[in-house]
Amino acid sequence: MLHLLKARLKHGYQAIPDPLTVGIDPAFPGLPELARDADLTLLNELCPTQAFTPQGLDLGRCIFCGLCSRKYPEMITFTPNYKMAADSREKLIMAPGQTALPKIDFILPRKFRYSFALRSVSAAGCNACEMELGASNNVNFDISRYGVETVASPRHADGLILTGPISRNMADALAETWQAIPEPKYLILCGACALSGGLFAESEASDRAFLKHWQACLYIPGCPAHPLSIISAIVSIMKGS
Amino acid sequence: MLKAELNYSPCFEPVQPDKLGSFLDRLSELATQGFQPLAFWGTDERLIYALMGKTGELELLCTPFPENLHYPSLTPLFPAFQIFERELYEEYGIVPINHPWLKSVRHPLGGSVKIADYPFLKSASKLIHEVGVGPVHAGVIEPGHFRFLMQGEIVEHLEIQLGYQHRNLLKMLTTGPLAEKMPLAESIAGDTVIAHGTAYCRLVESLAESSPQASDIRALLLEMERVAMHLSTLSALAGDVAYIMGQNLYAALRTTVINSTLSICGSRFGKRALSPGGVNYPLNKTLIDTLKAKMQKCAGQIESTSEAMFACTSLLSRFDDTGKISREEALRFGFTGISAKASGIAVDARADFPIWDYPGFTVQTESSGDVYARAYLRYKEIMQSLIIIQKLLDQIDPSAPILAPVKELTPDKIAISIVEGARGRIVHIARSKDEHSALWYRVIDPSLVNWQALSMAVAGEQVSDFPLCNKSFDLSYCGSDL
Amino acid sequence: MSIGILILLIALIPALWKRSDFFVILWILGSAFLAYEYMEVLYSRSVQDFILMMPEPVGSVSIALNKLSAFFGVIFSLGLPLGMFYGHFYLKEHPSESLGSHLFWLGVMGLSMHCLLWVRHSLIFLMFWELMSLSSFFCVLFSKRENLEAGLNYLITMQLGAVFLIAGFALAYIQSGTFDFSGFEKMNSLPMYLILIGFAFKAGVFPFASWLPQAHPVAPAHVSGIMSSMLVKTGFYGILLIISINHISLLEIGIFCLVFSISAFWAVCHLLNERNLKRVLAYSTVENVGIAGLGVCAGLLGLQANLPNMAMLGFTGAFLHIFFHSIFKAQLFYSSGNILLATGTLDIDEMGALAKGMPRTALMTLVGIMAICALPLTSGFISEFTIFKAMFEVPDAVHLSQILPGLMILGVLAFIGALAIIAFIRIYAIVFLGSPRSPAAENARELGRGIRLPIAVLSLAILITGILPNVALRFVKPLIRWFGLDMAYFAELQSLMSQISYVYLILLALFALLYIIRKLVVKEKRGATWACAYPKVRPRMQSSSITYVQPLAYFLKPFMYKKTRRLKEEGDFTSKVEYDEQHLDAVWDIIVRPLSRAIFKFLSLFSHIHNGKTESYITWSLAFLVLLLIWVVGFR
Repeated sequence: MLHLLKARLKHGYQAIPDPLTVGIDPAFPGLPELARDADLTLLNELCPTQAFTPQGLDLGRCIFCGLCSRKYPEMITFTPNYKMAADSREKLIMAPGQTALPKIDFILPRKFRYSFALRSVSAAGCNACEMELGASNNVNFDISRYGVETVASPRHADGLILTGPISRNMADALAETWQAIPEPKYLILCGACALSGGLFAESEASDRAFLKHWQACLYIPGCPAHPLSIISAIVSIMKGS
Repeated sequence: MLKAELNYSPCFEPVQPDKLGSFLDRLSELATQGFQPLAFWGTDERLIYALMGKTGELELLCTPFPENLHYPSLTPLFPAFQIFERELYEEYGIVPINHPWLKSVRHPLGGSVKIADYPFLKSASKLIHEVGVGPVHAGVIEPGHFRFLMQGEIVEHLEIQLGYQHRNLLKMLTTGPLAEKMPLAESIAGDTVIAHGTAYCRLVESLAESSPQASDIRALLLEMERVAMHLSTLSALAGDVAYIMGQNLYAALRTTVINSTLSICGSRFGKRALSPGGVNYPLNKTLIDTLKAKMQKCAGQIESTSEAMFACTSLLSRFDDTGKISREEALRFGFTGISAKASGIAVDARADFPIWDYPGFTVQTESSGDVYARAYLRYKEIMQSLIIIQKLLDQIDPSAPILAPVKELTPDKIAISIVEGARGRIVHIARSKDEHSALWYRVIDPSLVNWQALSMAVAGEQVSDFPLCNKSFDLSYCGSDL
Repeated sequence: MSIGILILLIALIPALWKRSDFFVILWILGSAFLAYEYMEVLYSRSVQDFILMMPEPVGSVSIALNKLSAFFGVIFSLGLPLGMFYGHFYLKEHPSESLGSHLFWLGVMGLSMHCLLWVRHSLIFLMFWELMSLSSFFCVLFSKRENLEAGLNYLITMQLGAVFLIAGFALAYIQSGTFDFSGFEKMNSLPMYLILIGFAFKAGVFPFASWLPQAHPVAPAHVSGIMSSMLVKTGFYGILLIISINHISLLEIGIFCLVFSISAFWAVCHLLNERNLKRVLAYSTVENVGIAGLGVCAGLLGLQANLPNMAMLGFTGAFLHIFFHSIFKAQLFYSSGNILLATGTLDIDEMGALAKGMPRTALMTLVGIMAICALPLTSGFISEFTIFKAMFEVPDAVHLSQILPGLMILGVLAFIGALAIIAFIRIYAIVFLGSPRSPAAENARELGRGIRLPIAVLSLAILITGILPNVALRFVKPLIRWFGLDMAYFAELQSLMSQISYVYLILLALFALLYIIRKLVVKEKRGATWACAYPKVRPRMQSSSITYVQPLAYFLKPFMYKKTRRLKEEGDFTSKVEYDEQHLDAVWDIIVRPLSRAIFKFLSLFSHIHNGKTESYITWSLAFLVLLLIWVVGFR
């Protein structure tokens, strides 16, 4: 018992007082900013996921590997802004010169304002997004303070948070889990793989037909998405940004 | 016979195929001499390769596909081959005759068995009931299906069916230039980024016959990853027995450690840190000092937390004697990493095939082979790694170059790279096709072999101890599904 | 004697002609007359008496009813025709060649049960007692040869019980010089104990209850229903008869408490593990007899400790429990009969999801199970509640020696009540819920209306007596008065029961209201059970019967004996996992069986005497004669 108290005292206060405004290590690659004269074709040649479209950088595909910013620091920089999320796939494209993502318009119905239960499905995620999702609920980040919890059964869930590119072997299970969630239900995609297939977009073993049928209400980019990104994104659709 | 060299992964001319008979004889001979199969696989060249290894010694063998695609299975005598022979059967239809458990592993595209049709072991007795868990589990974890044959509350048999995470990763590693596959290698298992990444980098470097820079930073990141993963496991183990204080303290400590990794490279998991030729981000003096102080503080906190946890009798009564793996079993099945070390086998790639000269390194082991052993061993390894980290931080020169240019690959060479990840020995092997791409690329995550250990550990235990046993091994799904 | 008995005698004629319809009609008619007669005795006339003069050594036979026998008589005259009615349909679904003899013995069994209640002469009583045992033995046998072992075991056990009775009756005769029951008053302890043990065999009291779980499962459902709910009660009638006219010392009450407690606990331990549906019910009969017995103990303790309220409550609870048990146990046995007919098995591990194919049977069985678990709204709750209430009076007693047995009963009752709930939840869950464990269970469909009718009637009786307990209280009231118990307290109990009724009715009305509102407001949507997104869920993925009790069995291990057979191929890769276990009846399998085997072995030592040679038989006869001669001469 004394050991335990000693250990507890040594730790001090671990929770982040306000995960929505807390600062982050400047080394963190968050929201990218493209220079107005950035050569998107050049950048795209370098990019392992071909995230540079003629309109700009598609955060849905970007895996934040930093290859572009290391080679062409004058064209692109990743700012330590972890607040990156959008309510549609199109809004995730950062055009040259753009400094912020468009506001999230989507807001959940009022009854989810203080309580939003999510069922997580990992469909061939590499366990990085899964661990970050788990970390969102740990003693530091503590997403449950906003009434968000990950539940064991889809029957108890209001939404599904998907990680991973959706492997063929997991496609049926994902569809079945989605089916098991009672209406009204909301789909959240978390991480580059879930958003666009990421590195595995072209894999023969991926089957992303599920996303053709169902529209997600929230897209959280990252590889993996940082817990702070996840928290700020989910809270923004619960309470408005 | 190849001798492992310090700081260098072997690269050599492809070996000449043996006749099937002498290939199998040699494998048996090596297996009886204490060699473990590090890898055993087939390739599109219609060759079966086998990589056998023992402390500091490696031997690569190879034979053409048997004519009628049948050969006598090695598994009945050397069970360590079981999962490899199943892979071979699934990928190339080569039947190991008398394999006791010839079932599919990953259910890849074009496989004969759909994942939903996996033939589980069934019991004829009415009183044996089944418990099926997964693929979507209760927690936030990767998918897999566990099928228990239960005698009341007691597990008679556990069969683990994976493959849900199969992403066709090996094929993707061989399409396109190999040197540009860094992000893919980091995604083999997102919680083992540095270990798999280092293995990949070293493989590319040796195929290109280039020597890398900043192997001390790599070693540093590797140890930090180990500390973080072990902390995560300890946190989950504490949570599984409702020791909430331990769960939270370890989770917070893990946050500190991975945030330190983030301060080095920008990713909490060490993604984007590595690159063939060295590392992408340097360590400056201030960062080194901060890290030293942080890790020092961490060590004290981990020590006090673990002292409290491993003195808690209610927790120990759950940990002790639960999910035992004997030394003999671990040897026979060729388990690696924590699963082997907790049963008293001193096998660790940091000692056997080191990537950095860990001064005074001794392999930490425990002897009881139960959940307690695996938990306590993790604590011991954490403390050991923290000492190594301090040594590394003392040694790292902030002004040294971090990235060396990597030449083109030497065509038609085979290279092997072995790294001790948090879960155990990671083996990457590839054969270069031309200056850019690989003919084949093989990744052996320790989980692939160690899943069998979980199945064996749970037999005879109450089903309520399953989560505990599962966490004590803490195996990777995507690492073995690839 | 009585028109009712006469009609029942006539009913044997269509029985021999295999006309079960006429047989049942005559039974209903005869029982109606009998019921009227019993009621009359119970509520108005004090005693109805004939004296029948018979040649010596029988002497004058008193044919008379008192309140006690009339009470049991009402139960029999209501329960038996319903059982026969059920039997009529059961036998239709389950045809047999020996229908005639079966009906005949069924009729004889019922008749002898009634006659037992009328005679007050030990020799004639014994005659009917034997007739009842014999006829029920033939009923159990029905037509199956495999029933023979269990049937014979039953017969032998009954004979053993009869030996005790005969010895007891003989000693009582020596003491009092009369065969009339009046001679039983204030008898010595030895004959009393012998008679009580003799009755305990029939009543199913540990350690003489092992025949019940052996005989009941093999008998056809109507027979096991009648036996378990009524025939067993004749033993209890005998015990009450003796207790009511003799002084019972505190030590003896203590022994009764112990015996009934052990009996109930022993039964519930077996019940927890049992996998044969009917055997579960048979063990539960032993348990419920134990509970009723504990009620009697409470009453006796109340008398002893001079606590009139406790005495009244104890006896009232016991009588109510006897009455209610005869309803819900019959109901459950008939339900189990329907299940057997629908699925062809009694092994609960081959059932499951019967609520889908047999929704009405499921609902009715649920009512029966609620009653047997003593849950509110059912009759079982009322009787056990009364016994519990009696026990709560015990701390008012003066002596510790009176308080302690009372507290023991309280603890035992609470404990076995909890265990019984676990056991029956297990039964209901495995049999009716989940998914079917065998094709037979999957294809099980509801049987015809006729065969469901008796069960429905009994279910209704359970609910009516459960919700309006005063109906039942009025039935036991004359008996309580006859026992000389405090009627003022009884009136208090009655008003308490009417309060319970009001609460029930208000709650039921509220529940109905909420249910209607919910139906109107909530739009229900059903989906498949969540199975971790695994597509191929098998029926085997639900708990088997052993799972429900395994954690509990860990704590009750000393009281549960089991034989297990575990087959798991040792080695690295298992290809076969098999497991089977059998729960042993400690008395039957560990004492009776080995003992009977030993006796058989001993007797077989003499088998060479039986060698078939005429000359040796003549030798044995001569030797016997010589021995006889020596004995006779020697005495001279």
